[in-house]
Amino acid sequence: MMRGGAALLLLGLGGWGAAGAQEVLEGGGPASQASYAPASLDHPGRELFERNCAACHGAGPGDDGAPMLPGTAALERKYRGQVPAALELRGGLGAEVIAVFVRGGSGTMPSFRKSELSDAQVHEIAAYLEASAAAHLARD
Amino acid sequence: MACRWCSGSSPPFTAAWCPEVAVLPPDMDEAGFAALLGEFRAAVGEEWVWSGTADMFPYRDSFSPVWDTAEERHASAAVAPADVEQVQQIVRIARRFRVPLYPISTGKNFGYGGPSPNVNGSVVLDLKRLNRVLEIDEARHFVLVEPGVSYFDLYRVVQERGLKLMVDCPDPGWGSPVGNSLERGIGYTMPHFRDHFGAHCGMEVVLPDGELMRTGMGALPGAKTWQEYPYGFGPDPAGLFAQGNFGIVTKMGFRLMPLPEYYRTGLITVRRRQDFAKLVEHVNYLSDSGFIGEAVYGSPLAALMGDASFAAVATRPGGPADADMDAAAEAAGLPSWQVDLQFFGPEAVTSAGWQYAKDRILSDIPGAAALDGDHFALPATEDQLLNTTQSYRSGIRRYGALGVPSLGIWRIVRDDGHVGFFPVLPRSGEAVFEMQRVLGDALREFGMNSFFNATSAPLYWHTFAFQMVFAPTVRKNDPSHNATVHRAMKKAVAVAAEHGWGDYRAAPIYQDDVAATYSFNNHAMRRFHEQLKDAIDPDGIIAPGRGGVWPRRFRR
Amino acid sequence: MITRRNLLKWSAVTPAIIPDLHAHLRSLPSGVDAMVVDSRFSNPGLADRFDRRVHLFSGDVTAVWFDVLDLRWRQPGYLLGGITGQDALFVLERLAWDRGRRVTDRRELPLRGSDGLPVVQWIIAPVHRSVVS
Repeated sequence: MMRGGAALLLLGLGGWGAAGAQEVLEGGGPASQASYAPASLDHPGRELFERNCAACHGAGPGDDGAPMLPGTAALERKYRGQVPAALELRGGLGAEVIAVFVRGGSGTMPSFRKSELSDAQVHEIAAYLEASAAAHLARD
Repeated sequence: MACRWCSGSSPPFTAAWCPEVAVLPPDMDEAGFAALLGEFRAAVGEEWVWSGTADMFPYRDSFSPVWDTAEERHASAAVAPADVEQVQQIVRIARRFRVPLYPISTGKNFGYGGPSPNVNGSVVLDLKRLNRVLEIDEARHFVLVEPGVSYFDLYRVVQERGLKLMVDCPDPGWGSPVGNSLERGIGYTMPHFRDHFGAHCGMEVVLPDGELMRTGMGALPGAKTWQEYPYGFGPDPAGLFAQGNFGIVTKMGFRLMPLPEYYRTGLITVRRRQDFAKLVEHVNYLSDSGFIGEAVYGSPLAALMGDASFAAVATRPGGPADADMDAAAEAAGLPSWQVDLQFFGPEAVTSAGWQYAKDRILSDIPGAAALDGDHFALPATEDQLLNTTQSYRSGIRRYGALGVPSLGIWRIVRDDGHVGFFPVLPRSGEAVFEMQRVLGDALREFGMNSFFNATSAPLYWHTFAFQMVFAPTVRKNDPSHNATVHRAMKKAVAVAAEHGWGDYRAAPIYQDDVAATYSFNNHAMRRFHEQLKDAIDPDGIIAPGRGGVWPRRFRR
Repeated sequence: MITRRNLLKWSAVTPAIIPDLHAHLRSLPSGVDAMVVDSRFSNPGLADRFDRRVHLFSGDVTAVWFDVLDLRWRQPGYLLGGITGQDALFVLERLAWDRGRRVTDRRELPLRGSDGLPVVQWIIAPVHRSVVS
């Protein structure tokens, strides 16, 4: 059920729907996926990911007691543990797939214009995500 | 015509004005003027229309530096409507006759032209009879007033109803919240209330075509938050009516401060001249964090200006040497700078606030000292308002600081009044020293370095900026003195602008000079205002020239 | 009664005194409803001899205006006399204009306040139709 206070909080943000509010409260995957330590890779795409994507798709908890950041939480709901919800752990996506989501958005994820992220920058981010996933596999 | 003025060899007046001949509106003859007055009388009643030199005397600028010269501005008539409907009628009549109106509320804008218009022959629209406090709310802390309400009137209502509200008053308090805020005047309490226009919320305006408009939430009929949510929806034209000529404000809302429980004062002093910079930074922090009311700066060294050798140091061309100033301070046993701090709130909060301010500043400025000042529960008693028990020399005017209107400021008025130029500068020690030096040097030729010397302290009136004072006196019987003052004002405005310091408010006789300094991109803002003016007031009947905005008809 | 010795003593401590305040008060037209007297220019001891229709103030007219005159001036009638500094008259005159009243008699007295401030004896009377009784 929706808790009134939290619903109001989320409705204050642009674009969140009622279903999203409910699921964020009830969601939460394995702890290791919510709180991984990103491998500190020296990769040109890393800073781009941190600046443009990590606020939603990064490691660590969300605001006000939420166990995950909103993008990671959304992917956790979608995949229910079949693949890692954290993009830095996922691998196997590639630049073309990443570009579809970046340019088209998805659900509550906004799209990014070329004036915000150029095609080249999207490629860098995708490359970083591959390298990051590989580094984590190697560690584990 | 032979009369006492023109019987001599060189009459002092041009054809533009003579005190023996009543002035007419522009482009109008005697017959037209008589017809105009007849229509005004029919609209508001005979006893509320005035013309002729004797009746129009109260509408001259008592503080004019151009008194009895050809530059003085004279209205031709005055009309005092009783209500908004009559205001609209007057505007429609004025439109038909193409006569400029000059709206005033209480007409007490001394130092800035008072009730006198920009254009000779304008008809003063005297809104004094619209004098109702329409709504005042003690739980949500707002008021809605008409232009003829004075701060005294508003204070009287608050007192009579026993409301726990504080009114941020200017000094003196006989002006109008509407008029004062539309001039961007200020007060002396907490930052966001000192900025009177900033504290306004919603207005009703009669437009140049006689239509009635409401701004902010007022544009939504039956709005419940007209005095609480300032913006409504879409572009907000409210700013056009401040120091502007786009309409006549007939109602205006204001946010009010809840009456605080307790008031506390304290003084901080610093030893050296350059300590001022850090002192200002700390006070900026306290003010922007919402901890303090108006901080009042002063230099105890101003008391030494009577000593010729100190005065020479303090007025040295190019600015003083810090070492010389510090040596003089040391020899006199005086701190270089002081600041009065004021705290409002529950007693424990004011105590903690003052303790924090002391600790913060004293730990950062060697040689700084603090003196605990008067403190008491509010509302203040008469004795407390009289401010006679402060153990140190304070710069605070306590009536204003506590939201009680007063006329006591008149004790500082000299000669036949003064004109005001209060240039705006950054809140920093560096900026203050720069203005002392630049304007001190610029005004040296006029012998007016009492205003800008090394001991001149800034005013912290507006929320995020300093201003400094240039207010030379005028003397009705000394035209040569007044002419000097007039030249000095114009030079001060020009030099200040060259250094990025704009004026905040000006008399009609200086408004064009001041507006001309706001010249970014070939006066883009003025050209924008002119386009709006021509569209909204094509006949230029509302206060042409106010704020430097001239309708097509009067543009040179 | 003010003696010459009193005059000399008081002139040392007060800005100015009116040697014969009562003579000035007597010379005002009869029918005055009240008076305001600026105590900067009067012997302090004279205060005791004023009746309740005489309102004293010292330079600052705020209290006498806010508590007495502002309320009386909203009603018709009320003839007011005064002996004050020119600065105080300036303020009262403008407040009186707001209520349809004018200074109908104005006389400078032969003395000066500090900074050469003129001292004036005056009458403020209702002239506008809305306040003439």
